[in-house]
Amino acid sequence: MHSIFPIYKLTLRSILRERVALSMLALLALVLLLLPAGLETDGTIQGALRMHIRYSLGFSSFLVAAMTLWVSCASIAGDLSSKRLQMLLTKSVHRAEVWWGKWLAVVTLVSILMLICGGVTYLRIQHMVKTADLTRAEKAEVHSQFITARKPVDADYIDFSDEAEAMAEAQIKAGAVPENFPKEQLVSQMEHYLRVSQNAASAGEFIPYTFQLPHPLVLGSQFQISYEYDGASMGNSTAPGAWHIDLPGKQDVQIFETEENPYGTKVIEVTVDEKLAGASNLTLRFENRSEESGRVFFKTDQGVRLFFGGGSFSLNLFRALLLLCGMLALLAAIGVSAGSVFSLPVACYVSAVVLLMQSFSGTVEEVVAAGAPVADQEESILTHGIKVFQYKVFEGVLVVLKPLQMESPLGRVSKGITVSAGEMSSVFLLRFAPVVLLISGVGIFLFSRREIGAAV
Amino acid sequence: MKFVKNFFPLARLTCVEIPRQPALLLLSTTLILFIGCLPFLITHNLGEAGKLVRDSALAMMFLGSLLLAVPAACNAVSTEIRRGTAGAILSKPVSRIRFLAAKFTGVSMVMLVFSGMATLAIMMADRAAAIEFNIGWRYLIPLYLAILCAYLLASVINYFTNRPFASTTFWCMAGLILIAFIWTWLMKESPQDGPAVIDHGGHSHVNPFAGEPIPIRWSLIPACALITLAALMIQALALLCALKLGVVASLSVCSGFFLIGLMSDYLLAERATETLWAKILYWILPNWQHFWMADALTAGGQIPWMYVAQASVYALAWTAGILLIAFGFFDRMEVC
Amino acid sequence: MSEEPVVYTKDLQKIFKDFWRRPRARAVDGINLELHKGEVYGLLGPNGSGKSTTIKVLLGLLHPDGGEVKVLGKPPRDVAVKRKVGYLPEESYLYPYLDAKETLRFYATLFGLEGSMREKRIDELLEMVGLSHTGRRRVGEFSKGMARRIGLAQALINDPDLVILDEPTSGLDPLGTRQVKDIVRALAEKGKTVLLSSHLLADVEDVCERITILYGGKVQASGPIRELLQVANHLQITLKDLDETQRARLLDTLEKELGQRPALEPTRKDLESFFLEVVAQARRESGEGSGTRAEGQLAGFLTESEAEGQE
Repeated sequence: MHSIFPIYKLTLRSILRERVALSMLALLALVLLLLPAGLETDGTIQGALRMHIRYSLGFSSFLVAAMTLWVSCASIAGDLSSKRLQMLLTKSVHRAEVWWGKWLAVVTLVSILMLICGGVTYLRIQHMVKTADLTRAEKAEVHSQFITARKPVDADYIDFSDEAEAMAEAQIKAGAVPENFPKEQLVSQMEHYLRVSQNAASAGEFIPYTFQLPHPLVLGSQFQISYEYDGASMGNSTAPGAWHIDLPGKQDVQIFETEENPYGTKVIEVTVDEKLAGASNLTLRFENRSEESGRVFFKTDQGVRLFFGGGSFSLNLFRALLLLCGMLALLAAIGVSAGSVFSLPVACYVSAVVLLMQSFSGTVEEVVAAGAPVADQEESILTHGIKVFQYKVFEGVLVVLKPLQMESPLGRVSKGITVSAGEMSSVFLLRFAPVVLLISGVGIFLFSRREIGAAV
Repeated sequence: MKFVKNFFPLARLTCVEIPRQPALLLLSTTLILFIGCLPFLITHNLGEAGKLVRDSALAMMFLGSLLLAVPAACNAVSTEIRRGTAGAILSKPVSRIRFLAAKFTGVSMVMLVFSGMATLAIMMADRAAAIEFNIGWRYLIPLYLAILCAYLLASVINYFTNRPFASTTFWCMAGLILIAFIWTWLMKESPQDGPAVIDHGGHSHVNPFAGEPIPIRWSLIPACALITLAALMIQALALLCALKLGVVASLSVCSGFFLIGLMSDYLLAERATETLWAKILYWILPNWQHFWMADALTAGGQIPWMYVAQASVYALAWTAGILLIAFGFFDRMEVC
Repeated sequence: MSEEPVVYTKDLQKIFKDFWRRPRARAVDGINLELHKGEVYGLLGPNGSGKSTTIKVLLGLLHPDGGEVKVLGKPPRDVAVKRKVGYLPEESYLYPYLDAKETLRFYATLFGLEGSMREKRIDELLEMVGLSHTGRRRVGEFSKGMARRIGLAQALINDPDLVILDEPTSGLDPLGTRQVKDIVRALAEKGKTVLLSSHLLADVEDVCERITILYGGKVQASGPIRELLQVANHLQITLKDLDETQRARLLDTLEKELGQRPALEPTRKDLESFFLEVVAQARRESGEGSGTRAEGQLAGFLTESEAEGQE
C-alpha cells in the first residue's frame, strides 16, 4: 500500500496546478456571494439566516457535489484517456492503490471546498447578526433559537396499529371498501387518520404529549417547547389555547397561555422551577380554548418537541459539514469507480444520473410508500400494467438509492437543532464506510479486469 | 463563394463529429426521457400538473442546453486545439475566423436538433399532463417508443454497417421523435381522453377533454424558440471559453453567467436607474428573464411572434458581440 | 541457456473485438519469444504489425486471448514482476504539471524508494539522459526529444532486470539516438535484458543480437541478426592504404584467379558517424555543450547494483 500516498499527492497536485480547484472556488464564491442577494426572504433576521444556511450553503453543497463527481470521474478516466495510466500501471502498483490514492485526493479537495463554504457562511451569519438592527430581546431570541445547537426530545410514540387493524376490519365487514383494495393500504390509511386525530383538538379538548427526558431537570435551567401547527378549521385567524406542563401525579405545574395565528412553528421558553426540578418525565397538554367549534391541528411528525441546552452553533455547523463531506466521499467513490470502468464523459453521465436520482429519491420514496397501484374497473389493463411497471421500477430504484439517501443536516442546523456527534459517527461507521467499501470493491474489481491501452 | 466552399465542409464535420460523443447522446436521451417522464413524476403528488410539467420541462430544456453546449463547444474547439487537429486545419488555406465561425455553426446545428427534440417532447408531455390526476399515456408512449426504437435501429445499423452508434442513435432519435409527434397529432379517432369524471383522493374532477383529443399547445413553440435563442447565447459564450479553458473551467464560467443572467433583474434592475456601472452591467450581462415565458404561458397562453422577433434581435446581437470577441482573441492566439 | 528465460511467450494470441464481441482485428497471432538474461532483443515490423500489442501483453496491460506468457518466470499481471521491469512507451505520457525531478520522484516512490538513495538515483539518471539542467521547467513544456529522455530515465528508476523500450529513439536527434544506443549496450553488458521495438532498422541493427520481424501479427523471421543479414555467396574484403599501383595489381590478380573482375569502391562512413564527428568537432571548437551533456554512460546506481548482484 506504499503507492497510495504518492498517487494521492500527485492527484492533488495536478488538480491544483491545472487550476481546476481554482475555477471551482471561483464559482462557489459567486454562488455564496450572489445567491443570498438574489433570494427573497421574509424580511426577518431568522428568515435571512435560514436562507443562508439552507439555500445558499445548500446550493453550494450541491455544486460541490457536482464538482466531486466531475473530479472523481476525471481522476482515473482522465489519466486513461491521456494514456498516463499506461505508464503508471507498468510500475509496481496495485490497481487498488491507484483507486484509493485518487479517491483520497478527491475527498481531500472537496472537503476543503465544503469547509471553506461553511466557513464563509458562518462568518457571514455572525456579521449579519452583529450588524442587524435588533433589540436585546430579539438578539437573545436569535441566539436561543437559531445560532445554537439544541437537543430535541420527541414525544412518546403511540402505537395505533392494533386500533387501525380493528378499524380496517370493521370497514371491510361493513362493505365500505372495494373488494380488491389491499388490506395493508387500508390499515395504513386508518393509522394515518388516527394519528391526525390524535394531534387535533376541538374546542375545550386537550392533546397530551408525554416526554421521557434525557436527564432530570435542573433547577434554574431552561428548555423550550416547540410546536408546529398544521392549520386549524376555525373561522378566526387566532387560536386561543394553553400548554399545561404536568408531572406524574401532579397536574398543571406550569401553564402557558397562547393566542396566536395557528400556522408555523412557535417556541415557549420554560425555566425549571422548584416544582419541575428533578423530573425525569413530563406530560404536555395542549388545551384548545377557542369558543368556536373547529379543531386545531399539529404536525403528526415531530410536531411537538422539547429542546434542551444550547450547544455551540459553530461546532454544530462543523459536524453538519463533516456529514456532508462524508456524503461527498460516497459520491467520490461512485465517480472514481465509474471513471475506472467507463470513459470520462460516460462516467460523468453515469454518476450524474446517480446524483440526480438521489435528489429525486424523496419523490420515489413517496410513490413507493403510497403502495402498489390498485386495479380500477374503469382502467384498461394496459394503463394498469404501466402503473404496476412504474411502481416496480420505483421500488427497484429505491433499493439502489437507499444507501445514498441522507436528509441534509443543514435543515437542522438552520433551525438550531443539534447534529449529534453520536449520530455523525454512526452514519460514518454504519453507512458511509460500508457503502464506500462496497463501491470501491466493485470499482477495483472491474478496474483490475480492464485492459489498458487497447488499440481503438 | 470561396468562403462557402471552405466553411460548409468544416461546419458539417463539426456537426457530424459532436454527436459521436457517447456522453452527448446519453445526456440528450436523459433530458428528453426526463421531460417525457415529468407527467407521471409530477401528477402523482400534486395538482396543477399541467403548469408544473410545462415549467419543469422548459427549465429542463434550458439547463440541458447549458449542459450540452459547453462540452460540445469544448469538443469542437479546445479538444481540437489540444489534439493539434486545429493546427492542421489552420495550416491549410482556412482563415481563423472561418474556422471558428464554422465550429460555431456546427455546434449550433446540433443544439438546434436537440432543441427541436426537446420542443416536441415538451408538447407531448404537456398534452399528457393536461387532465388533472390522469396521465395521457397515449401521448407519452409514442415518445418512449421513438427513443427505444432509435436505440434498437442504431444497434442494427451498427451491427451491419459499423456506423458509429452514438451519432446514428442521435439522428435516428431526432427523426423518430418527429414521427412520434406527428402520429400523436393525427390521433383523432379515439373516443375520449380519460374518463369524464376523475376521482382523486375522494374529490371528483370534471375532465374538460372527455370525448375529444387534447389539443396541442402550439404556444409552446415560441416559448421553446426563446429558450433556443438563450441556448445560442450560451453556446457563443462556451465557444469563447473553450478557446482557452477546459470543460470544467468553461462549465464553471458559463454556469456563473447562467446564474447571473437569472438574477440580473434582482441584482441590477433597480441600481441601473441610479448608477452608470450598473446600467452598463445590466446591458452587457445576459438577462434570461427575457427568454423565460413559462409564466406568460400559464397566465395568458400566447406569446406573440413579434416578441420572439425582438428577443431574437437581442440574442443575436449579444451572440454576435461574444463571437466578435472570440474572433479577435483567436486571431491573436498561438495554436500548436 | 539452461536458466529460465526472462521473457517467454508460446503461441501468444491477442484479438481485438468490437462492441458485439465479434473479432475485429487479430493483432497478435501465435507469437513465440524467448529472451535471455543480458540479451538485447529487437522486435521489428511496420506500423500495425503487433509490436506494441505484444509489449502491452508482456506488461500485463492487455490480456492475452490465447497462448502462454511469462515474464521473469511469472504471469505478467503479477505486480511483483513489475518491480523488476522498466518500460518506455512509444510516446512519453507524462504528467505535464510536474518538473523532471518531480516526475522521477513520483515514479521512484511507487517502487518504495525513499530518502537520499532516491535523490541520488534521480540526480544520476538526469545526468545520464542529459536533463540535469532543466530545473523547475515543467515536462509539459519539454520538446519531444526531452520527453523521450525523461521517459527513458523513469524506465530505469527501479534498476530493472528487464527493460522494454518501445520506439526509444523516435523524436531524438542523432546525438540522443547514439546516447540511447550506448545506454542499451551498457545495460546489456551489466546483465540486463532489453526488449527493443522499433521500425528504425539501423538502430536495431546497431544494438540487437537477436530480432523478430512481425507482420500482420505473425512472426515472419526470427533469429540472430548476423545470421539473418548474411547474404549467401557474397564476401567482403576490407583493405587499408592501397595506392593506385597496388589496386591495379590486386584487381589483375583477382581477375586472373577468379575469372571475374570485382568492383572496387572506397569505404564510406555512415551518415550517423559523420554527423556525430561534425558535432563533436564543433563542440570542441566552441567549447560549449548542446544541453545534453551525457555520453551514453550508465547512471552510477545501475552499475553499482549489478556489481552487488554479482557478489
